[in-house]
Amino acid sequence: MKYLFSQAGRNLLESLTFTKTLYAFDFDGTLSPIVKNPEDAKLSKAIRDSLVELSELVPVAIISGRSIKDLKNRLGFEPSYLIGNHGLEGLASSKASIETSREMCKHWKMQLDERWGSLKKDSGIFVEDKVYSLALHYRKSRNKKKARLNLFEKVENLKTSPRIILGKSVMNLIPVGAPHKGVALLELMMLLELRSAFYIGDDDTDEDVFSLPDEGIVTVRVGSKQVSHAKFFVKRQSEVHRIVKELTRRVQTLAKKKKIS
Amino acid sequence: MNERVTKLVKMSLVFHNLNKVVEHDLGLSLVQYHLLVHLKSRPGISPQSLAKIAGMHPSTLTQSMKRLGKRDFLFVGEDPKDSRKKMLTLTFSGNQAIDRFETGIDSLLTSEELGVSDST
Repeated sequence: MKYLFSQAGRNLLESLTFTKTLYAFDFDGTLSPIVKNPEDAKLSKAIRDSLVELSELVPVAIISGRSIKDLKNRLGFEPSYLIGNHGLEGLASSKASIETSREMCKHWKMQLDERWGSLKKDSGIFVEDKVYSLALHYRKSRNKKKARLNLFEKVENLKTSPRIILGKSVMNLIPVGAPHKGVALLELMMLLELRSAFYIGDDDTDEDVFSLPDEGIVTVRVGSKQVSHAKFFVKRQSEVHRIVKELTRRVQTLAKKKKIS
Repeated sequence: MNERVTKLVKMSLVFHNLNKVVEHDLGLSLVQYHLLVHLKSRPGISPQSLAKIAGMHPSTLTQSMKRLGKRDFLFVGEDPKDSRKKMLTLTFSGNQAIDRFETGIDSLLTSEELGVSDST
């Protein structure tokens, strides 16, 4: 893993702008800083303005674990592509699995409600029903380790086991075999007939993209991590704005030069 | 001498001269252009993959890469996932070199100096 703003990283960022590239971003912890209450997450005006500028020049996708409805309210602009529920919403290929996912989540929710009992004492744990997937949040719990163990206990006995993806103080329950963020990015690349893509995320759910064996995808993680499959990292979330601004500037410069010649 | 061999030698000389003129006038040989165009569409590709896509032997590619690197047309960096491997990127000057080549190649190929046209 290399720092994105190293010589090699900067060169690669520049070379992306010479060819048709899809620029994809995760939302929580990447475009928006992590906040105690997920409901409070929002896009800063500065980053929104830069994203709007970028999306006028190149295809931009937001690929998030949130539902599309939730994302739309938070973004305040319409990117070229909006993918929700870790790849379950917004893709043509996921239409077949979406009804199964909805049914499965309904059953999990019912089973969890029945077994919730002991967890009621911990007011910091709550279930976010995203229709096609569930997110069990424990960020506000006083004892996060214990909360996570308790949640694992409840989840491991669910009928029809879910795929569990751990995030930052959140446990995502996703139907096994459903599309994930990696599938979503590849499908968008195929749709646009592109060989090159840029993706940035901060979480374990983003490893589905980071681990894709495709040399044409430049992957960046917010925060360095030894075991991540991402090629590059930035030190903190605030650097994401710098990336968007730099990409926009480079694409604009190239477009101006082409216009002149 | 075998007639077919004579024809092949003549063809080889035509390509050799063509490459010389193109490189002199447009800044890139045909093979260098071919490599840079493939690199342009695949930022961050490894030399092995580039050789495969371009249909070249890896050792031939190494020589071309060195020449293009010296002229600042491509950047050879370390693969972020595996320090034993290399990662290639096109530079701004490399991209300009492609543009120059593409602007001038058609008129050069049809010029009397080369005598290469569609009917050749």
